[in-house]
Amino acid sequence: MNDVFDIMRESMEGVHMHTPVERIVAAGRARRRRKVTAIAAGAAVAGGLTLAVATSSPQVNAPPAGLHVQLAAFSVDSNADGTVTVKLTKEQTLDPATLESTLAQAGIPADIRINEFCQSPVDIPGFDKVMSSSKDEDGRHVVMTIDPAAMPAGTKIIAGIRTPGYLPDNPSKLGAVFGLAHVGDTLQCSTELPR
Amino acid sequence: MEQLNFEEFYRNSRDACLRAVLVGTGNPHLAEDLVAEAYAQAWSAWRKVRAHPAPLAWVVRTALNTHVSWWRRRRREVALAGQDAEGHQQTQGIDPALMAAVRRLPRRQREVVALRVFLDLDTETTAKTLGIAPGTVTAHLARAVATLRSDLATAITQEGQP
Repeated sequence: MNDVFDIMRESMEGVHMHTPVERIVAAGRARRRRKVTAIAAGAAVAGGLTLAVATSSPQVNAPPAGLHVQLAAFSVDSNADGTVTVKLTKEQTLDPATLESTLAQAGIPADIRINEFCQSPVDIPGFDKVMSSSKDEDGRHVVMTIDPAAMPAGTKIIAGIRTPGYLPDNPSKLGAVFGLAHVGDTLQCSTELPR
Repeated sequence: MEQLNFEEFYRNSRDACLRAVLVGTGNPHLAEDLVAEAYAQAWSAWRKVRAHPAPLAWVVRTALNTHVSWWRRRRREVALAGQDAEGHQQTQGIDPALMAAVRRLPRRQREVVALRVFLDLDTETTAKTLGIAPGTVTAHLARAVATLRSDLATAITQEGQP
């Protein structure tokens, strides 16, 4: 048994954790802050306080009915069930600001970057309920359905999109990566392709 | 003071935890993210984790639990430019034959090996950490070692062939 253990230990000697402790501490602190905020909000409700909601003001993440934007690089369509269909065209480089503003009109706060890949400093559960993706039948598009109502409060979609010629020597087949982040959080970004 | 204490814990234990999670998941690329996430959770609940009988086991257990559902809900990758969705996997500094052998093990066997080999946990603590019986730990370990020994012997033989 020990011979196998020794081989494993020796083989892993070159494996080291590179994440700086400062990043760990910052992520832990953000997690702790969120926990405190959640507890405070819960306490307010438990204490019988009425949370005033201005029903006349626009709801966060509520898409306006009938948004349909069709461009060469992407299209955005709001659906009757409140979801939003986003179609990206392969081989087309899109303008991130235009996609961001179109998504904003559809009720989806987003941070779109080209050849820069970011992640949230903290894990935000529920992304699988926010977004689904599938290839278009013609193979030229990637179609995603986003449900703005499923986005946790105060979050935005983050997306890093790789342009066709970016890092051609990198064998990664990744084309785009999507995730969630809290608005205002400092994202951890890299121009390297995510592993 | 509390933070210094945590930072020292992190610096002293991070490589062992990373190696354990790497073996436990069989995924060299996710392992560092998972361990970082687990340490962040440890720091956010540091008083509890510090008082834990095996804080390293807590970190590794948290990372392994997170692995089950974390990746899918954290981010979604799609293929553009006519490429497939799966990113290319690279293994740096790790014997590919060993990694391949580890990946072939069932998840529970990988986890038992990870805790026993890289955290030096005894059978009892390994069993508690994974929530299984001590006898099951022993059985998993014996099967894993037999498989690894056989796979590694095969790999060495193949390497030696012209």
